[in-house]
Amino acid sequence: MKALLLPFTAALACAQDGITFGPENGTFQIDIRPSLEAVIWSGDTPAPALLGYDDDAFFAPRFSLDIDAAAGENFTFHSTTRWDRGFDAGSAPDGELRIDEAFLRWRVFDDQRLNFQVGKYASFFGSWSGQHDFFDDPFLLAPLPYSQLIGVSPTSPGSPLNTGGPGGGAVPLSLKSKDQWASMIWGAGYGIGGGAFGSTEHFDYALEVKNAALSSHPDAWQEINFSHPTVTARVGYRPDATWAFGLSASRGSWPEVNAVGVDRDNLVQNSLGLDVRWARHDWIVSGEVVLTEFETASSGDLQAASWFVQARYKVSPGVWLAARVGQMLANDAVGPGGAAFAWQSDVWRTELGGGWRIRPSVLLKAGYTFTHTEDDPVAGEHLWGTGIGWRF
Amino acid sequence: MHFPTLFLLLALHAEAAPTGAVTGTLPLPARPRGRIAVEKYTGTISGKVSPPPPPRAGVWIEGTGTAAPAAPPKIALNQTGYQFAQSLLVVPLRTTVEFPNDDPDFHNVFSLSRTKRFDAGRYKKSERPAPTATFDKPGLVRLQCEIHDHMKAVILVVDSRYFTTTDAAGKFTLTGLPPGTYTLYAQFDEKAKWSTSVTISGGKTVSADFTQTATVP
Repeated sequence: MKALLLPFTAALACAQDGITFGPENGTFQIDIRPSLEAVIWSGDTPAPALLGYDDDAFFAPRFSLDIDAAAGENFTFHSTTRWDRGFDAGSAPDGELRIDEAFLRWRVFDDQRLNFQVGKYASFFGSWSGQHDFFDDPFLLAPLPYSQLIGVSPTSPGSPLNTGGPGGGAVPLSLKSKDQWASMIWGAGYGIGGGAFGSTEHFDYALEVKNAALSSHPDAWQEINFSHPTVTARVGYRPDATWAFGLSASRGSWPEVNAVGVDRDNLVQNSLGLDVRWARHDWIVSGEVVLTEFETASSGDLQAASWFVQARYKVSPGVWLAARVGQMLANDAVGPGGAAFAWQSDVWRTELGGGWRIRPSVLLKAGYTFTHTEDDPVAGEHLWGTGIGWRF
Repeated sequence: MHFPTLFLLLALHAEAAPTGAVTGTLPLPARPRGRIAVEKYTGTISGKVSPPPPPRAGVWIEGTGTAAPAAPPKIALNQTGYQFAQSLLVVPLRTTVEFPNDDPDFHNVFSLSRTKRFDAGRYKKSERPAPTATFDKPGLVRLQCEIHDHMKAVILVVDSRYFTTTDAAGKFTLTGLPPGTYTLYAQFDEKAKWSTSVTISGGKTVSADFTQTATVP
């Protein structure tokens, strides 16, 4: 048995740092790090959040290749290429290969005061996108504002509302195709664009212009089309390392396609976010509030608010427990006769998670999610997930 | 003989015995370069990142009378410029190491090594008391920062009171050695280890030959 396990142990010992190339003088360097994440989802169907499968259980492997390159002290490049069964598990069940991130960064000074970045990368909005990698996020699922369908369709800007239900109200989104609907913020928002950001001991800032709105689908992120850009900014304040506060804002056209009689530049998603994080020793507690508004041609402004609070506690070296609670609320839309109707159901979500970092390069995670959607008796509520991440 | 008198004579004898030294050069292996020290996403580095400290190996002797002291003094391994201050720290068994943070952002030193598994948690600049870990088992302990992936260091825990580190070129001098025959050990990482026998006498400095690799127990 020992002989059988020996190669496995040796591989683990070699893992973690990837492969590095570059001349000895350090003027140029390339780091390549492959990784594997495999998650098994199970629970109610249709699956809650943005998960795109209809089975009782779903196996979602993800192979990633991270490449970092540095030229001199101030220019760096990063790319993340992935093969998986969809950006949201199940959205491409036969597998797809994507470049999720590829950006060039220029750090103007020796410190972090001013950086310019161009390419495809995670949004600067909020604080979650900066910690969404498997090894950084204590949960398997994104927080509610980043992973919950809402009843506005960016693929049907002429008639974007979720109608047809009893009394002209919303039909449960769980009965509809998920790829037609938006999320307040879709995951980490890997749009294409450019921006500037910087940090000092107490303040940080970021400003970016991208090709797609925060609510847009992953497919929209790929299009190199800046005719309807989205501008996002964030300012942060840290009295010291313990506390961090951030204020984010974003404005951009939310339709992803053209439609007859629709001026996409008049249909704007405005978003405002507040994030707070407190950390000390074994505790990290953080939360966000996101307010978003979709301007429509004839149904008024569709407004939604969502918040979440999460906590992670390390119970022993490499082992932690986490909990998160969140809620989403929406206003009423204006119907054809001027009557108000619900365009989006209210949602509650409670999550429990745990992680065990077996080795620096190997992490086991498990979680349970309970999502309750008002007026949607068929929406899946219970979701279990178990995953392993392995950096090579 | 009266016990205090015996003790005094022994002490005088020990003080009179000239101590020697051993010197040499280790053929340090080419060390893999550290990862590029940039943050993929913003928010974890707000200052200037220093270059990583140069690679070093640890050198120590084992033999009669060389065991680690019962209560070694506390040692600090700072985090400065988003790097560990030293790439390798040799400490005698039972040493408590503290990990002060000199940077404006959190650090979170941890190790999942078999020799010592600990997690200091998130602690801020100049926080006192700084987090500590006591190393009560000999071996190699790999340190990392949970927040800054590029930060790496090694603590080499030895059951000896006579130890030092090489410079980046592999050169070392271990001084203050009492007369006797000892096993001289050196270690760079899990794979690069050396050992040889040395005899110290007459207060001389002897050269160690590390051209032959051997196994560290």
